[in-house]
Amino acid sequence: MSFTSAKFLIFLTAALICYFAAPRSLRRHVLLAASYVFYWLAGGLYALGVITFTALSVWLCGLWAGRLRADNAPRALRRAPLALCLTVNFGLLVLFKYGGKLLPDVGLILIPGISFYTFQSAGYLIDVYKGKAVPERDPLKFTLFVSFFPQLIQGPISRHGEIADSLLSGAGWDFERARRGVGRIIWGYFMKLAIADVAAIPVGTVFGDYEAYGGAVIAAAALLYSVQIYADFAGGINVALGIAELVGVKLPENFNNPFFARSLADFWRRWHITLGLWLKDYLFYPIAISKPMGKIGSLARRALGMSLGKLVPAGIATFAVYVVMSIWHGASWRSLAFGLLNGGIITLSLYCEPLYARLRKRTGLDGAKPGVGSVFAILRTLALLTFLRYFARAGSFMAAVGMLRRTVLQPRPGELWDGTLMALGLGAREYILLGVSTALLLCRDIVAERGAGSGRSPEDVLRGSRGLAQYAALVLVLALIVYCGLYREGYIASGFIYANY
Amino acid sequence: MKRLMQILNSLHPEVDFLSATALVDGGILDSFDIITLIQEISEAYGVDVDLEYIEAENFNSAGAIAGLLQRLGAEL
Repeated sequence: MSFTSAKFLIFLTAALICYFAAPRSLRRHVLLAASYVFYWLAGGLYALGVITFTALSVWLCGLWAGRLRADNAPRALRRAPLALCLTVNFGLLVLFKYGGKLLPDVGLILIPGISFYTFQSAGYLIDVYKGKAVPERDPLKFTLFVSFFPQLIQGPISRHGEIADSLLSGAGWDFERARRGVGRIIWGYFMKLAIADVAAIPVGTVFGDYEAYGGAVIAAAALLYSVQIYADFAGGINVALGIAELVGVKLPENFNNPFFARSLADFWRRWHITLGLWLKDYLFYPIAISKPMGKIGSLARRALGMSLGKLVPAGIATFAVYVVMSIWHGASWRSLAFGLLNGGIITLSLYCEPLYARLRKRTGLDGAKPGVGSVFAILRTLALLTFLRYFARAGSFMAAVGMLRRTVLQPRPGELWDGTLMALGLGAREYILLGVSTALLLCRDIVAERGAGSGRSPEDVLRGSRGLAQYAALVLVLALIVYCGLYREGYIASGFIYANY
Repeated sequence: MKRLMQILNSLHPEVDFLSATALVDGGILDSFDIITLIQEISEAYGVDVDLEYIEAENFNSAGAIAGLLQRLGAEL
């Protein structure tokens, strides 16, 4: 059920009314009931069954793992609940996500958000094993953690310790919180409706028939796709975080001005942050410090010398992370290529770090400090990302290669001003609105990036400015939402891209 | 403690590890640094740094790392 559908808005209104009307002690039950209603509407009874199974199995194994830890059981035994529960639930994840490919004749249905809630539950279980989380005794409380509806469809992936308290506290109406929450929700809808859904049209036209266009138009579409997917995903996350804020729950941030990244590694620390953190804590570190990796590390240090050898375990673990990340995005050669390219570039830059350090000294350009070095680093990363986006959006691996080839060998830059751009599904007026909306987004992100150290968000800046600026911004944003959401010709209410992960 | 400081300085010679207190939280040590650090201190001190010890609070300062090593039975 898309956040931008009328059905969802009706559901949300009803859920919020019930929540605030209920006495404090019952509010978490309202949230749980609302989450189940939401999921039933989004995925059906079958999906409800699957998520309930995951929630209860992880809850039980969490109690078991906690008990083993309290009894100081030997490590091999303490791993048993982990092994069992993770195998079964990740098995389910693989089955429902990729089963369509492996077993095309079995009518496997789509379970919305299965990747997100499975990862979230697994993180809790591993935290209990590590002694970092206290096992939740109440199955209803735990199920709420797993199924809390704002984060159900596309994350963020939270840690139990981070949100359990606020989730269960039954926070009441607070005007400040409501203002922040509603502001965030409006901003999210703006990003989705005025930017993502509009940009989707020319992007879809070009990627759907790339042989009709020259390299320049293809490159422009790839760049626009970056904008589209950011506005789509981060917009949806803003809506989710805004709704959670209304009920007093602070979900973790998932984006941090990704287009200001100074390197590819930096980008992945700013994009889909909670997935990156999850992979780091539950995949990267376990692999990198495992016994087998220790042995490989010793061998590597003997074979390649100290400085190169010691990077091998980190390199292998990085690769594993990006392979998993690529599989997360889809079981296709194209996705795998995307993941491997990212992993390869980042691993390579690990090895090149001494070289980079020398270059930084020689040229005086340092991406980490503000100035020319930063700008260069940002533009370089953008270029690299645009190249990688070919693999993220093209219809297939071969299509991506074909598009790259055309970009280099047949640029046909003339197409950028000969009217081709006007034949991609958007008229001049829509391009202008898209430009204005994107400029607004860029402004907000620049303010956010600049204020990153000081703790002042763009929202704080806006509130600090004169009243007129605030109202002007609000009116502009709402006008754009309304225009793009309702009145644009040929508007197709597209679902959120990440909704079926 | 000297060996630990040597290891830290070889990772990031530009950082003053005697006074820094936000090595992880402040982004001075990234995940690759942590992995290398763990490998080196495991070898240098003969300890096993298990997954459950990889938390920011154990690596945020030279003192915190030393504390972790002592808990794991190392002789500093």
